[in-house]
Amino acid sequence: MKTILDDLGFDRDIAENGKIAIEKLKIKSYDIILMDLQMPEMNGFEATEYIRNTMKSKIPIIALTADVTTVDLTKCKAIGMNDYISKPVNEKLLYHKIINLVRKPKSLLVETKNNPDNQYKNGQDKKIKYINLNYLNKQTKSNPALIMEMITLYLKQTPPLIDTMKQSLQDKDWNSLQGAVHKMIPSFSIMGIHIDFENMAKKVHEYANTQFQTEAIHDLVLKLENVCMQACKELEVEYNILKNTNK
Amino acid sequence: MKNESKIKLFLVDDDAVFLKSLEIEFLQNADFEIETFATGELCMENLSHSPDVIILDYHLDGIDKNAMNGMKTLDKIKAYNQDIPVIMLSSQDKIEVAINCMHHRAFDYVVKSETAFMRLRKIITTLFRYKKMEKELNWYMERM
Repeated sequence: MKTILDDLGFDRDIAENGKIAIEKLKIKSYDIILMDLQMPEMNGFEATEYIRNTMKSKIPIIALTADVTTVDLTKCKAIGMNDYISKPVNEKLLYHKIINLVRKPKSLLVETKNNPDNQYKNGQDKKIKYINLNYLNKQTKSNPALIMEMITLYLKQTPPLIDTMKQSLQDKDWNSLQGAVHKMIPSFSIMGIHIDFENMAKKVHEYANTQFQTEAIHDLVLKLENVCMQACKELEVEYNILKNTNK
Repeated sequence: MKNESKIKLFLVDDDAVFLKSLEIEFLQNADFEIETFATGELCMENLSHSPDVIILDYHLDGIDKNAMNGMKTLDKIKAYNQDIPVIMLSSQDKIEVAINCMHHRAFDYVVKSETAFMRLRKIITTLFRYKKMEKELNWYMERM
């Protein structure tokens, strides 16, 4: 577990049981907790209960379970854990879960900052930030020049791909559609665009391949276009911020 | 063994964003000499620089239909020098694609994702350990 986290590039502290974890939590701030359910002294359920009820902390908690089938997942949720992952841990899955949980509060923050009045609305027209530079920051060790270079490449590559995507859909040129979407797929995770949109792109790829469900494809392509254009706009903003702060 | 000089890596991908991202990962986290190419044709033209490992995208002809695709490039590399190990990259996780790559003598196959770099680094480490053992074995065999 330690090595997986190190490999993924996360900074981590280890606590042997729930009590030690809580002690550590009191003195240092953390972004997320991976909590084993079976621990000596104080188990994962008790520790979570304490963190949520006594400490009133909303820190994301992922339960580590030995076996999905034997563990009461509803109990995990009920007690206030955000997610679970079963051992042996799949590093890709763990990475996604951590990133998703860690970045959620941030995008919420942006939302409320932008629309203080809409705070209580659950409408779809809320301003959501599509991109997230966490991954690029981590990857480049926050080197602004490299981040700017990556953004430039994305801005140069993506709009033509969207055009190709739309054009080939119109021409029913499935090969070309597949090619364009295919090339877009890796960029979603690099720019921190939500996995749902990456999966959308994968669906288009699949439909283009089987030429099945051609009606659904139109809708998906439109959505992808929208997301990518929005992402481009946001990236331009980020680019200018970087440019201005690193003159 | 190439202990004194750096390992030379070729990265070939027509996806400029992913190519750069991979290059950054390798430069930040490992000590390699890297050359990047957007097409299979460019990679072939520069094989004389004798890369130790080539990381090659499976597609390459996604946008430019006339470009040489990944499999053709793989075959050509192997025809040029069958000892250059080639690791294939693709955003598809289809098992048929992976098997096809192996049939064409790719050393391994990696799906493009955030963890691709880690896997590539692991594969490259294994690759060189294997090469070293092979060399040592040959050394002993000659003396038997």
